Amino acid sequence: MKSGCRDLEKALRGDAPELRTAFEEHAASCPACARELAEWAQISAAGPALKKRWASPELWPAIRQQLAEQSQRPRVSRAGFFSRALPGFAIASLFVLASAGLWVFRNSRGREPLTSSWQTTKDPLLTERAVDEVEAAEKQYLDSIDKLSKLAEPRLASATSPVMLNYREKLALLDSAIADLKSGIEENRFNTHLRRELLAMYREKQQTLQNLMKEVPS
Amino acid sequence: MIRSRVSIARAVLAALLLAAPPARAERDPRSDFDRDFSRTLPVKAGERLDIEHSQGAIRITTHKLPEIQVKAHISVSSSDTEGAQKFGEGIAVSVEDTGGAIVVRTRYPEKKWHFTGSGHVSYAVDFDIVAPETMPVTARNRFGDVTIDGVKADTTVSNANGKVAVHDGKGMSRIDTSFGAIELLRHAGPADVTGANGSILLTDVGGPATIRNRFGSIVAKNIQGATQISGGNGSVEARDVTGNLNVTNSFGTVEATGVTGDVSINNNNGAVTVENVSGSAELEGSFGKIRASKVKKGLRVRSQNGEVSAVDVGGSANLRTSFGQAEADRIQGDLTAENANGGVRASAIQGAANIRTSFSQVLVNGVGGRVDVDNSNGSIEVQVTPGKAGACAPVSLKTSFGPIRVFLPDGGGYAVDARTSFGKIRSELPLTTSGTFTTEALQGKIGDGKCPLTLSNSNGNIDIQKAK
Repeated sequence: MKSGCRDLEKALRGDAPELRTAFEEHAASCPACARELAEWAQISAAGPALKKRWASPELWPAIRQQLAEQSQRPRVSRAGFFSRALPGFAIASLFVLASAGLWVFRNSRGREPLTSSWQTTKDPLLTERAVDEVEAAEKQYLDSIDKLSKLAEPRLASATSPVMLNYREKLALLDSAIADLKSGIEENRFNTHLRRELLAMYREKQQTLQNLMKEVPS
Repeated sequence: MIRSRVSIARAVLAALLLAAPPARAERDPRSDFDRDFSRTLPVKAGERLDIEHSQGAIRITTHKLPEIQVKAHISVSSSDTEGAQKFGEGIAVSVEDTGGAIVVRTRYPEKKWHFTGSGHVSYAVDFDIVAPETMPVTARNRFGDVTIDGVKADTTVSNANGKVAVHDGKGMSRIDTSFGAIELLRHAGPADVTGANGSILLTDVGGPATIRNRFGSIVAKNIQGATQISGGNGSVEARDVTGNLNVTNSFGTVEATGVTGDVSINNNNGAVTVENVSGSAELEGSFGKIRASKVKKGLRVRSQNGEVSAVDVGGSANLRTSFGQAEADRIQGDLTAENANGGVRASAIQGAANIRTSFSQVLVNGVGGRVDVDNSNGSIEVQVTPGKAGACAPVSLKTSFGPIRVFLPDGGGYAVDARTSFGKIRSELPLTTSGTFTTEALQGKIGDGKCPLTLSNSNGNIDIQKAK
């Protein structure tokens, strides 16, 4: 099978392994495609680290322990009412949890996974708990920005095309806003407006870097 | 089996309960200090409001009374009770009548103490001001939103790191902000708006509007005056503009609909779509598609590497591009299309058609006036329509390395001069030859031979056929 520069997207989709192989063969003799393929490989490698997880490390050990305890207990001939009703309770509990999850996510529109009080409060100053939440969110953005910045750095350093120069200008503008807000926050840590604005700038910087990485190098 | 399922369900339920995070109590080891400031001053005719502020919102509404009510809510939070109170009391809000203006200022005390560990002081001052509705307003803010409702006089707002919303106003509105959205709604007067990184929305503006933005989107709807838009990296949408519209942009799409005057758009790397223009339109771009429809007067399109199309143009249309298809349909005036490495398709052209391209196909169907096509390395196919009241519409088609096919209407009279090399000349219509007659060169008449039909080719056939 022959492959060309236009087949990159199909090859990356992974539907047809032979297309991927053919594209890799093509990339061996095409420096532009080889660079593109290498960058996608870097993004794929960085992807799992960017993925957000809600870790419940206690969950599986607790299930395992409960099962072990169950198996150790002497068997009783007749299950009580609670035991008989337990599957129903478990299903109902899972349903309630799922509904709560749907309710929480109902208006996120892909911006923020959770609607926290600090996002909607009209109070000019945040509580400590809210600031903890904001700082946790900031840290996630910063981790993501850090990884994306490393990937974007070579492209930005050698930027000559108008679109790349434009990205560089926008990132510089965002960095100046971030620096401005951070200096404000140093003096005024619980100010709701400052914290929201800083988070919005981080979000925009992350989005800008993601868009930059989607640009096909000219 | 059932026992096993019960065990698993019990284990899952218990584990879920165990894994659920405990409800976290609010833990705010800090002291809050709140203070309200309120002052009312009479306002003399012609006085303006001048407010300079930071670290908080400014909200201005209006009333009919000749007085201004300034209220400020001061919020301070600190890990140090005494410090919170000291800092809060040190925040000074001043309201002064200088004769020409009511001047409102906020001054924050210098933080002269240092905390160790998690010690802190944070603060904000939010203003709620009610001013006479005819009082002009100048507001400068940092790190806070500005909202102005119902001011029927000039407003000037300069903000940094905050949104600006001006609603139901009148008079000249000047707004600039960095890193915040701008919203100007239902404004009876001209507007001059500058943003940097936020979106800009203007609707129902009763005067000319000048809008600048660098990285945010721009939407301007129902603008009753000439509109000048300088965008950058965001999309631009202009609808229902009474007057001329001028747009420059770089990387976003530009859409303009319903303009009563002339339209001029220059967009470097994004698509341009223009519809319902009562005047003429001049559209320029580099890499994006350019589409124009329902332009009542003339249309001029310049693109470097994009597709261009013109539909329902009241005057003449002039299209130029390269590496993209050029299309023109229902043009009431003349059509001039220049392309390179891209095809040209033209139909229902009431005036003359003058078409140049290379390395692609030219298709022409229905031209009221003269047809002049010059192609290199591409085919030409032309459906000739009868001239109005027997008027002569000369046809001249020239190409190389591609066939020429021309369809002539019944009853038309043409003086045919056809030449090719390495090709054949064929005619479906009866032709009276005169002069040269070989398979590669032909001169003769169709009908009365009134109208020149010049067909020139190199390395391709020439077919003269009856109109379909």
